[in-house]
Parts: sequence; structure tokens; C-alpha cells
Amino acid sequence: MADTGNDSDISFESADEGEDVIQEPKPSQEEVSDNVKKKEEDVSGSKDGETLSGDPASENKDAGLEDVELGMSDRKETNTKDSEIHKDEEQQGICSDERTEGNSVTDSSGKEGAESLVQEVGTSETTAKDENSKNAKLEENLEGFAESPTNQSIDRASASSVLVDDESSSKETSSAGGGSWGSWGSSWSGWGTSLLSSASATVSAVSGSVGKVIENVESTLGVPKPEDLPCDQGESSDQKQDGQSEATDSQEEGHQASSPGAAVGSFFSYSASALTSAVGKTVTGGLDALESLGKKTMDVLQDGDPGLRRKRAYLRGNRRDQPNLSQLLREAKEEAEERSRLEVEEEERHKCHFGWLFEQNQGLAHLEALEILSNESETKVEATVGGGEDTSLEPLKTELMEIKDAFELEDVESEENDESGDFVNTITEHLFSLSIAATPNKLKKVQTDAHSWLANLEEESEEKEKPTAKEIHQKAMEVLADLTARSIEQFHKTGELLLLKQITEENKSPIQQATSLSKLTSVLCAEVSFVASKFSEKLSRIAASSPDAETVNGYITNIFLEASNSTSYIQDAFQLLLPVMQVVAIDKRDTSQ
Amino acid sequence: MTSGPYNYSYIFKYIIIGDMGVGKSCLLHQFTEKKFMADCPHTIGVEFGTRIIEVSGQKIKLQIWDTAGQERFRAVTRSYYRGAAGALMVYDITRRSTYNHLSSWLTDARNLTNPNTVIFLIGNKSDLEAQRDVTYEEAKQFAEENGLLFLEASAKTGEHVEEAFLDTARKIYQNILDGSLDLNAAETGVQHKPSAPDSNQANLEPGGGKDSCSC
Repeated sequence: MADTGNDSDISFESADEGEDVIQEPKPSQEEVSDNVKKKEEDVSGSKDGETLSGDPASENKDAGLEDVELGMSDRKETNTKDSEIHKDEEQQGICSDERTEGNSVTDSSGKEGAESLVQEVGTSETTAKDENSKNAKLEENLEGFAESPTNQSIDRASASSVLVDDESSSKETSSAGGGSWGSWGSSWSGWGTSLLSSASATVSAVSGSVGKVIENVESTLGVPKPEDLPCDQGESSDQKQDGQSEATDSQEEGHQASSPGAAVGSFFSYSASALTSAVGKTVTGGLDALESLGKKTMDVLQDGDPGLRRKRAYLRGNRRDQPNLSQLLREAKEEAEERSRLEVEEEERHKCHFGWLFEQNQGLAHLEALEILSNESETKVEATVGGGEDTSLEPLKTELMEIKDAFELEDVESEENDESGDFVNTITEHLFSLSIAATPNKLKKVQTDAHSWLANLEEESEEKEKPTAKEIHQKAMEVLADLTARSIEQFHKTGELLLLKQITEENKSPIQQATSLSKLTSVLCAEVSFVASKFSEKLSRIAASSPDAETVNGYITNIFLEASNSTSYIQDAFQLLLPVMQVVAIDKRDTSQ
Repeated sequence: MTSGPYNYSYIFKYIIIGDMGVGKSCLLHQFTEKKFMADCPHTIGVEFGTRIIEVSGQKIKLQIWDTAGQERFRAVTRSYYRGAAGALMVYDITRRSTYNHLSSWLTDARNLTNPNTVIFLIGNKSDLEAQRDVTYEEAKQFAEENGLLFLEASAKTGEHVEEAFLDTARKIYQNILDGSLDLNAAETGVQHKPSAPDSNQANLEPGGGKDSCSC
């Protein structure tokens, strides 16, 4: 038992230390688990002590009850000192005050309580002191050990009062400043430890005091009063009623204010179950009173638990600064849904975004590669004709200038075919005139696909479900992007093949080739405008009958915008071929010389 | 293509080089499409492939330049080496001549790329074990002597194809992290896209070489 007493001392102190350190609203997870561990240790430690002390405790039961009665009558006599009593109570019994006021208060009052208890054994003035003194005495009897039982009885006194506090805690909390949170949070953990340690260590002496515990618990939780309460409780009905009303008040307030939170509930339930097992063990001592009281305690605590669960759930819902797991999971789920929704939206957006589609079709890569070839060719051209006033270079310079002239595009519109049906023939012809092995297969495919899609749209419009304006717009973007990318690719390949230095005498002159390229460019640009106007035409028809004409008109505008974008890509690519063509001319001159 | 194609933090430029017919285009096709292209036409100049991969939680877009192996294109394809962050140098394990040409390819790769370019040696057609003409050991030794990463792969079965592309990216990314690859320097072959939503690279590479997009 002495060991147990030491154990509880230690845990009591450590709880106090915790108070000193912690300034956060609540004990952290680790602290809670630490305390839980402590409780477990305490419980296991106390079990031995209890079984040993079971019999002596029962022997002293009568004496203890006598003490209680004595104490009660004393208290009656000193009823005039009510205010003083109340003060004492507040100091010792209702620990919540002390806890909210700060650590130093708790410490000092604890010490004071201990001292006064030692002094007042047998002649205590208040109910709480009744218990304390009685327990102290009981434990003295049991153990002949004055020091630790006193501490334990303080613990237990606070434990029993905390049963009240559990509900009334928030009252003080709400009135106290922000700093009180720290002491509160830790007081709960301290309470868990002290309740447990006191409960387990002094459970053998519970017989007398448990009545008070029950009373407090009952008044707090609204559990019906047990019929066979010890008689001394009837005598203290005045006091009780006070406490009851206070408890009820604080209970109500407790629901309004936000208070220590989820850990409290779980703590309570945990300590309750631990207490239950500890009490159950003791009860086997076989003493009727002790057994019934112990069972009562169990019942009451278990009865109270569901209520606390409800409260815990309530508090949990109220706390914003500490979301629980399910909340976190819910939020994570929502976040994931939101993200995937955004991704889908983004993809949708990209699907009809010309720039993105163009990149997807490797249009940009081909443009970049063509740019590299162009830049290198330009360097070469400048190296050849840039420096010096070599008159032998004059014919070459003239030729290069002519090539440059050939790269000046005529007005695109003037070249436009009445029907783009011969697009394939035209570009094949132009590419052939370049005398390179490039075949416009990909270009052909894109163009054919686009035209057949448009033709389908025309045919199906009578019977089948029409594609929406959005779908037409998307298709238009796809076609334009693909057509542009393939055009750029064609120019890129052309450039690569032109640089192979395999151009032989029978080939056409670079100027002729340049002219062919220029024509090719015009055809490609014409095709782009043709496709764009076709798609716009379809959309215009829809816009005329659509309730959402504004959106459809936006699509039409976009198609024309991207068509012009496409045209400038193609023309830029064409211009990039100028240095390449000039290099061809230079190479040709070199080989012919 | 993979979803969310705009959500990447980096673009790495790769080039694939090596003799004609060693399977460069097939390796690329296997990597991007996860399919074997049995009847692959000769590449003209350069072709492209892209795939978004993930390295250390970072989405990276690989922009792969698959060069023509034909000798006549050599002059043109040399132009494309510049600014490659990774170079996959491929030979055919069933044809020793393709292995013998490696030093020439390696010279080009060294001369035309920057010093940080990661060069990965791939011995392709590892599925044709019966026709093997180049042992694993000698190629491994060649790779070690020249500081190259090395794997034997098969574009047909897909064996080690992923690994070759991904290991290269990991090495490049590692070079970025340890600072040996300066993103602000020209022609690193790496473009940083700070716009990526959940990128924690924003503070890692504050002045990262953000490249303007022409769209």
C-alpha cells in the first residue's frame, strides 16, 4: 500500500508538472496516452494493495461511519460559518476554480488542503473535508501511514469534486481568460490520473466517501437517487441541494460553452472503466455495504457514461481547432473530389484549346526543330555572304535575294481555290515540284477527315441528333490544331530533306522551289480559312436558333481567332525555310563549281 | 495520353541516337504507347514523343526527340542535340557494327550537348538472345569506362524500356537537386514550370528557367 501511495504521489506530481508546462488548450495526444499509461500502472499497482487491505478496511468501516456522522454533526453546529465553509469548499472541493486560476493556486491549495486535513482529521467542517478526513483516518487505520493517504484523499476529494466539475467545468472556463485553457487542459489529464490513482489506491476506503461521490455524480448527471444512501447524506441535504443546484446550473452552462473537448470524454470513460474494474476487485471482499456502494459507484459511473458520450460528441462537433479523424477524412475526400472535378474541367478546357492541341500534336516540337535548322542555316548563309566585298559572290547574293523575294507571300485570299477538293492534288503537286521525297500523307489525312466530318454534319442534320455547338467548336479546334501541326511538320520535313544535299542538277532551281513553297503555304492557309469558315457556318446556323446565342457566337469568334493563329504559325514556319532555301542555293553553287 | 497533361513541373528534353535500325523509334513507341511497332518506317530527320512521368513526386514531361539513324541525316540530326538533358544512345546487341559505332555517337553526344547531359546506353533487342553479338559484360564495361548508365532492353517485350527512360530522368532530377545542373544556364534541356499547382519546387528553384509558351 505504501508503494501504491508513492505511485499516486508521483503521478500527482507529474500531473502538476504538466500543468506548469502546458499552455495549450488541451493536452496533446502523447500526454493523454502517457496519462493513460500511468493510470494503468496505478491500477495494476493498486490491485495488490487492495486485496491486502480489503479486510482491514471493512473492520474499520463502522468507525469510519461514526466519523462521518460525527463530522456531519460538527458541520451542523458550525452552520453559522456557512460562508467560510463555502470558501473552503471552493478551495478544496471545487477544484475547477483553482485550476482556472492557475497552477500556483492549485499547488498551494493542494498543500493547504493537505495541511488542513492533517489538522482537521475527525473534526472537519465541510462535507468535502468530512470525506477527506474520514478517508484519511480510514487509511491511517489501514496502513498506519499518514503521509500518502492524505495526499490520496486529496486526490480523491478532487476526484469526487471533479465528477461535478466534469459538468460544471465550462462555467469557470468561460469566465476565465485565455490562459485558463492551459490549466484546464492539463487539469483534465491531472484529474484522470488523480481520480484513477485515488480511486485505485483508496478504493478500499471508498465505503464512506463513495456515498458522496455518488451524490455528486448523481446531482451532476441527473441519475435518480439510490434509495439506500447512507444516512449521513440525508443530514447534509442542505448542502447537497446547494451543490445540486450549482451543478445543474453549471451543467446547463457547460453545454453552451466550449470546454476541454473530446479527450475529456474518452478520459472519463476510460477512467470509469478502470475504476470499475478496480472497484469490482475490491468488492469481492464480501462486505455488504462496501459491495453495494461499490456496485452503486459502478452503476452510476456506467449510467453516466452514455451521457458523457453524448456530451463528448457534442463538444467534438463544436470544436474547430481540433477536428476529429472523420472530419479530416471527410475534408480530404471533398478535396479529392474537388481536385478531380477541376482536373476534368481542365481537361475539357484543354480539349478545345487550340494551343494545347497544337502542342499535343507535336506542332510546337516541329516548329522548334525547324527553328533550329533555320537558325543554323542563317548562320551558314551569313558566314558565306555576310563578310567581305567579294565580287565573285555577287551572283549568289542576287540569287539569295531572289529567293527572299519568292518568300514574300502574295495575298492568301487571291490564291484561294473555289473548291478545296483539289487540296490534296495541289499540295502533292507543290511538294513534288520541290523534288524531295516528302509525302503529305498526314496532311492529306487530316484534311480528308475534316471534310468528311463536315459533310456528315450536313447529311445527318435532318434525322440524327445534331452535335452541339460545343462539340462543333471542339471539333473545329481539333481540326485547326491538327492541320496546323501537320503543316508545320511538313515544312520541317521539307527543310530537313532540303538540307540533305542530295539535290542534283536535274532539280529545279532554288527560286522555283521557293515559289513552290510559297504556293504550298498559300494552299495550306486557304485550307485553314476554308475549314474555319465551314465550322463557323454550322455554328452560325445553330446560333440563329439557339437560346444561348452568345456562347455560340463566342465559339465562332474563337474559331476565327484560332484560324488566324493557325495561319500565322504556318506562315512563320514557311519563313523559317528561307535561310534553308538559301543554304540549298549556296550548296548548289558549291557543288556546281 | 495521360490525364492532366498540364500538371507537370518540368520538361526534360531527351534525344535518342544510334545507328539505323537499332530500334530507336520502337523504343520510343514502346515507352509512349506501351506497344511494339513491328513495321517501323525509317525516321526522317527527327520525330517526337512525349510522356509525363513522375520522379520523387514531381511530374515531369519528357519531350523526346527521336532522331533518324540514317547516315545521310547525320548532319541534320546533329543540330538537334543541343539542349538535351538526356541522351539515350542505342545499339543492337545482335549487330556488332552498331556497337562499334558507339564511340562516334558518344563523341557527338559529348560535343554537342552540355556537360550535365545524362547519357544512357541501351543495348536493344535483348529478346533476341540467340542472335546476340555483343556481350552484356563488354557493353557494361564500355559504359563504366565512359561514365554512362547502361541497361539491355527490348522494345519488343518492353523489358527495361521504362527503366531506361525513368532512370535517366531520375539522374537529371538528382542533378537539379544537388545543384550540378543550373536551371538558369542556357540549353540545359530542362524547363521548369512553376505554375504547377501543388509544386513545392517554387521555393527550391525561385528563378527557375521558366519558358514562355507560345500558346
